[in-house]
Amino acid sequence: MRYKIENALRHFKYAGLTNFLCLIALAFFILILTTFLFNNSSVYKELENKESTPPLLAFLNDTVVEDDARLFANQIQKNHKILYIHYISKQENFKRYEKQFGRLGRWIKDSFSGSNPFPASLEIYVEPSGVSRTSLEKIAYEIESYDKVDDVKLTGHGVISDIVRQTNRITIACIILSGLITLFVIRAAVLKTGRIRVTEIQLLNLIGATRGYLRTPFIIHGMFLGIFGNIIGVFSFYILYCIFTSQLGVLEFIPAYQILGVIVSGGFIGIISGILAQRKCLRLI
Amino acid sequence: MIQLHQVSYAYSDLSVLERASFRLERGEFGFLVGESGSGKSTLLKLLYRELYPTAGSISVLGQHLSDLTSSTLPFFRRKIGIIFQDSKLLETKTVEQNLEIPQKLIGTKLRILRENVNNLLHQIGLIHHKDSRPSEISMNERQRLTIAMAIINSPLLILADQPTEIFDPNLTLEMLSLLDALNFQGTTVLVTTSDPELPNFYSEKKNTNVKRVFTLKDGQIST
Repeated sequence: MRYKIENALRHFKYAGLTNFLCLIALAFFILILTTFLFNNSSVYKELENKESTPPLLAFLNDTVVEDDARLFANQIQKNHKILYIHYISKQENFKRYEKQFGRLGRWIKDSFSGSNPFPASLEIYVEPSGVSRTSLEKIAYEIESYDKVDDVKLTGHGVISDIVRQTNRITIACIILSGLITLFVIRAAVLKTGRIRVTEIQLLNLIGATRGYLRTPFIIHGMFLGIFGNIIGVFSFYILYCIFTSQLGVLEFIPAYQILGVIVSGGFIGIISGILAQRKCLRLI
Repeated sequence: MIQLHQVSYAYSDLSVLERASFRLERGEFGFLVGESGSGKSTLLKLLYRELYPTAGSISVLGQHLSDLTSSTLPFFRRKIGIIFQDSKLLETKTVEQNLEIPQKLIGTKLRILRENVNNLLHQIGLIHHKDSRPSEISMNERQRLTIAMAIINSPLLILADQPTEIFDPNLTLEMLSLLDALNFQGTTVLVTTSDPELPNFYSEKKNTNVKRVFTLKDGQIST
């Protein structure tokens, strides 16, 4: 085992420049990937924050009494995309604004000669699968056409959901692409090292080295490049995050499980690349 | 020990061996004489299974080579010491490191490995070159190192592919004496040469009887 490890470690010494360039290339692509992951997690957090607010707010005319409003709510709830509707009376709305804005809410009421200017409203919750900017606009347009409704407001759910979907697609594409690039770059670096060692491998093979003895350096080399390339990439992104943290505001860094995922996948892809390089290299001898 | 039965081998259209047969018993010292390009190296490659015969069967060390799998082949090869015609030394390693390779492969403990390597370096007269690279030593010394690499694991069989071609008569005698000493300890030795006088030269100089001389000509082996 001692010689196997020694043999594997000695493998790194060959093609030092290639290994260095490979680490730089991997770090660069992982930096891009982590940027997308960061963007993705930030958008998700934004969506999570939005979950406490309804996607649609329908403000009712002042002439609509509570019973009529509830009846109207039942009527529009027949739309299969609407999950449920919550009625908010004028008083409750006033209390909310007062709570949110403090004395400002009371000043508004005072400026309207003591009458409550806040309208009653319907908080409309939609099936999560149906949340998109277009579908919400369509529902809003339908609701707005009723006489009882004064105005319908979109709270930004649709836009955020659309951004989440787009970001998801881009991030998945980026993950696949960086996986393939990692595979290609590591395979090329390990193969180059293998080609430099081809005479040694030929000799070892002829004097009785087992496949395991010949294979181990390739696999460990690939794994090393994958893990360290990804660590450098993530660390570079962390440095950029620290530099620009004042501009980024309250945005949090990528979750720990994603960082771990990136590094572990790097190691895993490295092992596969090492095996591929070794198969090609052993075919040469 | 070595048995070839009706073995044929061809590189594409060029036939090298045609239904060749021969037998070398355990503990024997054999010379395989043949002209350059007659297929001596090919025959040795067939014996340590770097090449597969196109027909016939080969048995070495009681093992039918056709029965060997990729997992058993390395362990079979460890029982054979091969002296390659083209040295096959690693130029990036020192003389000592080159000699360590076969020992490391079989997992010899470091203390014993150092002892074995030093002893053998003394024996072949390369101890003062142990930190040199193969490119820094003479052709004779390179060949001696190749022989040392082949014998360091005390193999049961030594296959030597023209080991004395570049040596002068004195060194030839010295190298053959080394192989003869191993043979005396029970190791079977098969040496290929393109010099038909080598077996007689050795017998006369050492005053010993070479037990077997095989001649390889036109793809056939004769005794």
